[in-house]
Amino acid sequence: MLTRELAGASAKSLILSVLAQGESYGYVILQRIEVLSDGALSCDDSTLYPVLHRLKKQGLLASSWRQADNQRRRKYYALTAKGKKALAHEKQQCPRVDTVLAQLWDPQPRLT
Amino acid sequence: MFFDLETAIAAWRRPYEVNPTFSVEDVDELEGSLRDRIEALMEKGLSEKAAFRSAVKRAGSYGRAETEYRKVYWGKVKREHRLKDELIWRLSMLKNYVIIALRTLRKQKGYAFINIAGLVIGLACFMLILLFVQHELSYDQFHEKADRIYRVARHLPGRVFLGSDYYAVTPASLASTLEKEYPEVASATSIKNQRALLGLGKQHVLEEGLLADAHFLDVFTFPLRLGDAKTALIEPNSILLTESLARKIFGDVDPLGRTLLYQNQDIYTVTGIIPDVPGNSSLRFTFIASAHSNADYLRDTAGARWNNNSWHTFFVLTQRRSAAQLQAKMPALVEKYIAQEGDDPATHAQLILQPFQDVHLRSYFNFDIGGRGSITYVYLFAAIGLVILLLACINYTNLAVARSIKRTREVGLRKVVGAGHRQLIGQFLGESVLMTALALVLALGLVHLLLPFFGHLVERPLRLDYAGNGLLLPGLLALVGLVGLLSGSYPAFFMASLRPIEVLTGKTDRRATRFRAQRLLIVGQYAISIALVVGSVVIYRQMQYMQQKELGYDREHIVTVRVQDAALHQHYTSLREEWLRNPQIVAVTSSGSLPTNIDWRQQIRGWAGSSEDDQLPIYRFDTGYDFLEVFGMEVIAGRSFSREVPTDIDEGCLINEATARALGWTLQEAIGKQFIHDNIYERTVIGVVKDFHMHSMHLTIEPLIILLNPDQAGYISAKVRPDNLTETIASLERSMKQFSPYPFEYQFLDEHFDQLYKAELHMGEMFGFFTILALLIASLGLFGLAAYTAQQRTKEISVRKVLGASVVGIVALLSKDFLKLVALAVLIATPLAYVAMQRWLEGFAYRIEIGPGLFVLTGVLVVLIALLTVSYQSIRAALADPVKSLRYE
Repeated sequence: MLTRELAGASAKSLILSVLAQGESYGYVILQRIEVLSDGALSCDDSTLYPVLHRLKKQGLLASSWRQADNQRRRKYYALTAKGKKALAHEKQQCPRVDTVLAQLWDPQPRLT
Repeated sequence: MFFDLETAIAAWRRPYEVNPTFSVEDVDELEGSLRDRIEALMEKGLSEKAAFRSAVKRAGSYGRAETEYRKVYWGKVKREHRLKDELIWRLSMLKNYVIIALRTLRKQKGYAFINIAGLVIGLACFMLILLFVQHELSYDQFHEKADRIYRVARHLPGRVFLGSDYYAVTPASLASTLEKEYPEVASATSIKNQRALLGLGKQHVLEEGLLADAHFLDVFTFPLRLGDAKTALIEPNSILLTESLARKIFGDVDPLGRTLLYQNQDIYTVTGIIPDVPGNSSLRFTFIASAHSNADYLRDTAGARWNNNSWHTFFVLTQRRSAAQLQAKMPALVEKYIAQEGDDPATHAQLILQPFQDVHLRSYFNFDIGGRGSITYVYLFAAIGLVILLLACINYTNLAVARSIKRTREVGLRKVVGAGHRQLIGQFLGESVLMTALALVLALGLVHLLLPFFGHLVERPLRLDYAGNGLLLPGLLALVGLVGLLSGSYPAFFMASLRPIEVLTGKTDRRATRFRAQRLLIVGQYAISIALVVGSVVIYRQMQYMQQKELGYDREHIVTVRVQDAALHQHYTSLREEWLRNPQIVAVTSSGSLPTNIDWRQQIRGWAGSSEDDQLPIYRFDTGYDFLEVFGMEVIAGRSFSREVPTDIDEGCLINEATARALGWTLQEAIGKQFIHDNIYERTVIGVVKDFHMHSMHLTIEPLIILLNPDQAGYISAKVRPDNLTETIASLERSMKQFSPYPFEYQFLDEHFDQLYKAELHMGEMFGFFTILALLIASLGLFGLAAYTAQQRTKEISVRKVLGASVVGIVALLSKDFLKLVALAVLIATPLAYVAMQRWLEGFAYRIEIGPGLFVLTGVLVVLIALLTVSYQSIRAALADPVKSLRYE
């Protein structure tokens, strides 16, 4: 279980990434995160949904209520254009941070 | 228990719905998420219930959700109707709690009843004692100058009377001297108790009042309703009446300025009316007569006589803290006025200044005017009250915890559907406060009922005065709050800390520490009870012993009449003849005092072989000729007084064995011996009387002389035949009326005797009262513990039964533990009780011995009571159907 801070920061990336694969609703998003991280990352409703709502407030996500056949009403979230741009930005940022950290933890001689 | 998913979800949803932080959408979303989880879990094979529980846990806590959502929606406008929703929700929760509380009460009627009963008894006792303590501490506070008023008492080192060498009486001139010569004294007054016959026309009433000088009202605060305080007591022959007395004598007529007959002799004028003396005043009176008409007072003050000590001196300090200063000047005063020439300074009287506020509770003087209370008693009672309340609370807690075991399922479920820690604690604390409030109301009822009896027991006018007693109502509320919270907090925290999973699957806690505390408590309670039982029995037996012991004189069927009317002396012979005309009357005699309590102390000296300084302090009993026929003492050497020997009056005397022993005479030797009595009279011993108890049995029998004094009668006593007593008394009264207008007041001699031991009698009653109480509370405590353990061991008992144990065997098994506790209590209490009672008995010169039999008997009694208490639970547990208990596994 990640600490809140860490989860908060990476939650955004995780959610954006998951939704990049298609719109989804809360529970599924959670499941995906859990599955993809092999169980290392999971959080509960009380932390996930507020993040979703904040992202929506920031305009990165859009939501709509859908009802599939024979199922209950669910609130689906999808990436907006702004959201896609943010994700792309994240993808750029992340590796850099990652590289820096990798250097610090396990320095290897590099050409550049 | 039947689990319904929809109900559970609905219950889970409510707190979110009414919280303005969550919009309806948000709640729907969260619910949806919950349902998704539940479905997934059920697909994995969990039951509905388990899935629900797990899903709720995974969903995260309500509190966190609220915090996180708030962070996102900071600045969101709270919609108005949400608040109303929240209020409605809270109210309906409250209703739910009350319903649950009442339902619980109904379901557990037995336990609840015992629980409340224990608390009611504890609270009632505490309140009674509190009323008593409050009353005692409030004495004499109503005087304006209360903190500056002092009284003067004397210490006469070596001159012991009835066990003490401190005296509350002083010379009449002391007050005026203090006022005139000492600037520290603002005003001082001399007062004396006085019983007087007040008459108006044909009506007479005998009243207890005071003689006081003109400064009385300067020192004490008795505001005059009518009349002028400045002049009220200055004139001789003036008298102040209390309102009730005024009404009694004058009816509705204005009494001011009217006259009445005082002591059947003098005309007195009513110069003022004061309100009735309050219940908490050391000075008790219905009238105040001016001392300036009293012959003794005038003689003493005019001639500055300092050797007649029969007045009480009180004064007011000009400045609050100057008492020590004034005290230091007292020896000089003694030197100047009181000490005689050539007196040994070591035997000088010492004047002691005592603050008036200490008089009621801290006096230790002979001939006192107040001092009916005792600070030790107050402390003792306060301690007992607190202990009882504490015990009641702790018992309540124990039983509440035992009861609440049955409610763990309710708690478990509440927690599962999301009830917060604080909510649960609040619920149980609230229940506890509710129970306490109920108990308090019942306790108040009990107090109202018992107050007259209790007041009589402690001899104080105790009242429940809601209006007048400023502390009462707020005090009661505080009591409810305190006791409710105190007793309820342990069960509340205990319940709130239960883990729902454990509880819902039937595992209950068996923490050993709590057990030990409860057991310690039982031991303590029983130890106290045992000590009290021993105390009660010892007091009872000592009283019995004193009642039945040979006194040396007859107590039965002797009517005594106190002579109020001084003129009656002249008519004594005629009265006696009248009385003896009635065949029911066997013998009549006059006497100075009564043999039950002879309090005249003098000394003799100058017997053969004594030196110049030898003195023997003796008690003196004056009687008429026929005292032997009336009182029945035994003359074991020589003879009694005879009408044929006229010198018997001035020269003869009887002594008791103790006197003979003190002077080293055998009985035969004593006859004819002479000595000087009271420094003046030469007396010859004509007979020796067998020792009789002339005081209470606290004191040994001291040397006594009996003098013939037929004309001076303090009492006239008649021995009567036991049959037809009312008729006899009536005839005595009729005869009396011929000679004196005073009301006929009589008392039987055995009643006089009983009064000597009034204090002990009351103490015995108190002990009995508290003993029963302590046993009751201890038994309640034990009952609670037994209930709890029986509950805990249900499984064990069922298994034993299945394996073939008999009912008796199981009862024995369960009882064994408790009996061990009680046995321990006996071991602890016995030595303590023995020491305490032995100490008390040492206050009596004549007493019983405490043997081991008493303790064995008490021990057995208490063990039986404990057994009875425990047996109910044990038998119930032993008879329970093992199948039912083992089913829930």
